[in-house]
Amino acid sequence: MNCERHNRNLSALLDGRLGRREEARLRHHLADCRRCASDLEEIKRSRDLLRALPDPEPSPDFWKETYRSIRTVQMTQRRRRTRMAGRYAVYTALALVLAAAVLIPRSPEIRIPPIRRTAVTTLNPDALVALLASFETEIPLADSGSLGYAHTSGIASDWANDHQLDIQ
Amino acid sequence: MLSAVKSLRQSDAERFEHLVREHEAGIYRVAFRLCGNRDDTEDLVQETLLEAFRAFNRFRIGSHFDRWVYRIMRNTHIDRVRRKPKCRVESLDSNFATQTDAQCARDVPARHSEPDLRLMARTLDGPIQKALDDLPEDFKAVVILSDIEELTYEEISRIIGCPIGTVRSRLHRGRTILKDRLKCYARI
Repeated sequence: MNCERHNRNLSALLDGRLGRREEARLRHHLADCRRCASDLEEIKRSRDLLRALPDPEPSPDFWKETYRSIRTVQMTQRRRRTRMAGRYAVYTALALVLAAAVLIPRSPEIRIPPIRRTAVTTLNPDALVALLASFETEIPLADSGSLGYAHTSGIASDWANDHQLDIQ
Repeated sequence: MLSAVKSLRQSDAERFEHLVREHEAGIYRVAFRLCGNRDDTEDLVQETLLEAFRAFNRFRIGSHFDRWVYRIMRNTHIDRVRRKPKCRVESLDSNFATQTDAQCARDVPARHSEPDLRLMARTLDGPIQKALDDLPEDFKAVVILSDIEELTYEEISRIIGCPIGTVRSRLHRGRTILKDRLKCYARI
């Protein structure tokens, strides 16, 4: 039992990780216990072997390819960041537009009357007289039975009177 | 403004590459001892470094870059081992079958009057790696970081993410298993 406990501390002794008292106790035990002393020696030897192992050689182009992969990842990251930035800009603009639509109070509706287009014609008096003359129709007067004629230029004759035109 | 941000990013990538170049040997060595063969090692190193590059903004300037990469590597390796069905993941409590002296006697090289440790390690690289490969992952990482990379218990504890007491006990158990496996060589 005592030997087991001491044996567990052999690695720590080797690495100088034991307290002074503990180390003294273990060294005292090692002086008497051949098994633990032998274990310590073997652990030390195998540790020394591990430390003396040669460095493994990588494939000829291994590091070149590794650095190339790292640069590819870097490019991908940059592209992704740019894409994300663009996407965020669009989302932000949309959010602002939506927020503006919701938050800004609506102004009363303003109705704009339709524009009326009117045709403007200019008539000179002579042409107008000729026009009015063409309105003259000869209608027999039924009541008189005579062959008298009446001017029935209607609106045209009224308009002519108003404008002091002589229509005969 | 944009060009300043761009140059900052560029310098980040360059700084990362510079740091990797400084620690190439250690990074490859740890990966190789964890995996045991070149193909898996190179996959692990690439995966680890790409992961590290993506997380480089979390790396604290002034801290040890190699320790930071080892932590990522260790997690990446554990994930890979779990993903690979053919890999054997052993319980820490399982009894570890050890080779008998008779089994490994065939591999023992000729005795030298004054054995050169480095030469012996080179000669025994295969059997030592085999013994490492057979260690449970938790023990293996601690043994590699302590006995090959010569990190302190505190550094290993931060890399593995466990208390120093656990590092100490895992290291001792790992070394004991290795010692039993390498007994016949260690006696030379």
